Amino acid sequence: MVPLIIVLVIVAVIALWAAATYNGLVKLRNRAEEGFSDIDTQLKRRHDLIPNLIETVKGYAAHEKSTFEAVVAARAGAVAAQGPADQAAAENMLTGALGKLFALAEGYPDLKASQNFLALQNELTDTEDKIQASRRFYNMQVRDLNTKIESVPSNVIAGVGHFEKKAFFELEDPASERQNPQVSF
Amino acid sequence: MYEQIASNKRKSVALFAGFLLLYGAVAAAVWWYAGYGPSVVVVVIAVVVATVALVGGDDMAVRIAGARQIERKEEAPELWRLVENLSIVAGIPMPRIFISPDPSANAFAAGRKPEQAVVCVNQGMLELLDDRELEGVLAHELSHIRNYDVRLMTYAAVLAGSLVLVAQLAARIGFLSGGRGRRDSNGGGAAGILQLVVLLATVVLAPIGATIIQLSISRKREFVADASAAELTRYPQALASALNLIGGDSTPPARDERTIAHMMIAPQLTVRGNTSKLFSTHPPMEERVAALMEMAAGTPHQHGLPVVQTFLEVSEPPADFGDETPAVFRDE
Repeated sequence: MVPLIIVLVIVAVIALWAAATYNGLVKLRNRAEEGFSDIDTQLKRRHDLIPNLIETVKGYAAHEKSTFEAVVAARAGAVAAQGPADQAAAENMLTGALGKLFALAEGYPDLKASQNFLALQNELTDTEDKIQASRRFYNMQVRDLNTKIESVPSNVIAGVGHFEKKAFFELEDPASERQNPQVSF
Repeated sequence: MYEQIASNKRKSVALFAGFLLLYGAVAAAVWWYAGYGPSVVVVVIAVVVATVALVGGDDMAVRIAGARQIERKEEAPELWRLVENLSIVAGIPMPRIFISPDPSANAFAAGRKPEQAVVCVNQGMLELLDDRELEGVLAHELSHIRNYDVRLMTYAAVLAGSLVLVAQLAARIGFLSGGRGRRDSNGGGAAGILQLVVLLATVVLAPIGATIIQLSISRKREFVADASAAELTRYPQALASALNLIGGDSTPPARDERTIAHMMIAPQLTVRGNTSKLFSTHPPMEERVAALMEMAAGTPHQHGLPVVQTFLEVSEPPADFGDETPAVFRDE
């Protein structure tokens, strides 16, 4: 009788632990997915700002075609990209193209002084800050999820429940770039 | 980091267990001395007082600080943006922002839930710190919100406060029922005196115990919040630099805010400008700075221009703040 009770208690404890671990994994996975959709929202906001920006710059520097085309192509690539790795690569391309566009703006004092341009530039900087912020949140959740999937003993539950590791969202941080000396023409 | 959060959670359990024990001790002493009825009264009153304070005490801290809410982004766009972005990283709803006209360098967060939290920055802080340092301080405050420290600290304050009340009540019961009913049935004498002594000792010691629990938890939490802030900003040296500056700043606060001192980022100076070493609510600044610099592999932060000079256009800092609160900051 007593051994039976002991066995039952052990089984119950294991079952409780398994349920708690499983729920913990579900929570982490959902939070990572929520984080990813936050990044997506911010990326979309960034993409939506770019056509306006190009129109504004065109009004002052219409002949700089190649720069515009690079930005438009990079934007199209970024909109089409799927999944953290591809999206991150496309966004980095876009950041590079936009950097060239802003460097070009340095040569047009009227453009630089334009209210519209300044507003768009501010909006874009703000969006980029928010992309970095939501990316960090996502990466923290992914780190927690991946750690739990890999560590003993929660890896057993992760295997049974088919939890898969998620990829980090790696972006170059414009904040660190901004600290570099500004290029001026 | 995670070990610290885990130990943080153990401490939370310890807090409630500790308070439960203290309440129990007071109730037991009353029971032993004055019987079943009065002890039930004490417990009921304790529960009512604690509930009322927990439900109604949300914005009390802000009111105590005499702070003004920043309601629209336009009022302080950069401060707003810092808080907004840090909230995204922390994964919490954006808290309401307040600026207190106080010239001392301090900041705090309050609120029971992340959904209704507030973060309050003193004017003195904006005049002292540059943007990265302010970001570090805000990250520290948001970590308090995210880690549910603010809730626990609010609870701790409320529980400690109600325990003091209950203890006083118990003492009164002790004097009122002064052994009358009990002594007849008990035979009185030495046993009655012993019971009175035990009751009085409990009544005196329980609030002291409450304060000690409250303070030890508050100190530990500052380290945890510093570590989480480093995780949020990935730039611990800015917070270290901010703490150094805050620690070196001797501007006394304009009002006595001891009631919310344990919620502040830095220890409260008295109105005369001293820190109280006994019963300190915070660990020494040097220890916190050292812990942060250990996390920061890189070089120390280079202090820049204070935010009031670079980006913040909040309404006029009060020039002769001290004896009277300017009309704009007055609580309606």
